[in-house]
Amino acid sequence: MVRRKDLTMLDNSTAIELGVSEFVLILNQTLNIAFPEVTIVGELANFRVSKNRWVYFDLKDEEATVRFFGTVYNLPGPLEDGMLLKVRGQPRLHNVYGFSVNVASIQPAGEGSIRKAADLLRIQLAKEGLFDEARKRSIDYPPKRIALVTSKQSAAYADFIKILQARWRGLDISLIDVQVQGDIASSQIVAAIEQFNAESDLADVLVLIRGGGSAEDLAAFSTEQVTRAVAASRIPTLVAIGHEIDLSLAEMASDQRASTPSNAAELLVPDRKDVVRELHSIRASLSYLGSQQISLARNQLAGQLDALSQVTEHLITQQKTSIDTYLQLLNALNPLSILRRGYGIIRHNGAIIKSNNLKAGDMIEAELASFVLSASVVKTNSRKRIHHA
Amino acid sequence: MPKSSQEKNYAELKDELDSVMLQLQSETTDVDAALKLYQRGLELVQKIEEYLKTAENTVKELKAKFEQDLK
Repeated sequence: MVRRKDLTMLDNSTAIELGVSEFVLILNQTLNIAFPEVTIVGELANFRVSKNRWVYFDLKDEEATVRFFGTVYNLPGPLEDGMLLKVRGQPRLHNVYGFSVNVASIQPAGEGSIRKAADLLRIQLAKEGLFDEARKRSIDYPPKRIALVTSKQSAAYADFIKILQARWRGLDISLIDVQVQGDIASSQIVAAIEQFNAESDLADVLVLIRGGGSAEDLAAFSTEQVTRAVAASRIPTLVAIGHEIDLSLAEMASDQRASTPSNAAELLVPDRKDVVRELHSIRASLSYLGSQQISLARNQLAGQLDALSQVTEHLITQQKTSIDTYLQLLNALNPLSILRRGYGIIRHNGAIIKSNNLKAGDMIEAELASFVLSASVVKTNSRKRIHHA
Repeated sequence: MPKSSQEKNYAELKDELDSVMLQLQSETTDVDAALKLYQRGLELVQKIEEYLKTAENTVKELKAKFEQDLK
């Protein structure tokens, strides 16, 4: 008995007796201390969505299965049973429904699964028209204000800025520094895109870039949230993620895609050197064409000036000839030249005698070619007409 | 060609010369009038010749000036 009592006493001292709710509370407190957050990788099974809001699924491997509970906002995109997922969350014992991990984030894991997830999402977003060519807008060339979303620490950022500044000047570049991989990359990128789109004076172009990496590194740029944010941007978008061969969903939803961050800079602005060279060549041909036109016009004008002068000079010559004729005629009519032929002008008291009103004794003057003589009238006779035989 | 208010233009000079010639050839014109007309005729011829000479020089000057400007 004593032993048994002892045993009972021993049991009482080590085993804790709790109410159910108390147990749940203590277990959850314990779990919270031991596993404030846990990331579990496993194959997706029994995936279902309830009331378009709640998400239930299991992750399993060969030996075990764990239940998960979350919301549709945690989903990276459409999922299918069999995909390998990396799920971060908090283990919890529910008052009624038992044990599950409350989901904080879900990411496809492993190349195959990531591609599968991206394929499913791509098909869905394509159906919604997010990648339609008709949606693509043109980007100002060159733009004045550039809204840049990338990691300031990255080589992509350095390359982009270096090439941009080597090619063009006077650009106004605003950067929102974001993480470009990992759990929070998606939400930071979406927030940056929304922040730029909320400005009262919108930038001319929104540039989203990231350098190369594994499919997992680039996963943020193929999430539903980032892809939708790019598609919804009021500012025209230029997206360059990874290398030429990588094609993210964000790039497909963008207005323009560049193969690399450096290529993005090249697409965005012309090279000053090319522009200056082109201007020089235009100036040269302009000045050549201009001088050709001017010399043509000058030749025509010189011809017209000659013709004009000739016509005027001809006119003047004609007039001079006609004046010479006048002069000859005038000289022929000169009364003095008549006197030289022996005629004389007879005057009485200074007046020319035209009719017979003189009487004997009147003094007259006779004007001849080279002299004037004074005489007295002896007699006047009426002139007898001389008839020629 | 500059022309003051008293100065006649070419057409007016020419008209007056025509009128002088017409009067000179008229039978009613006496010798004294004829002499005056003759003298006026000569004056007009001289004026017209000066006028034409000036016109000729002006054409040459203008042409030279414009040829210079065109170069």
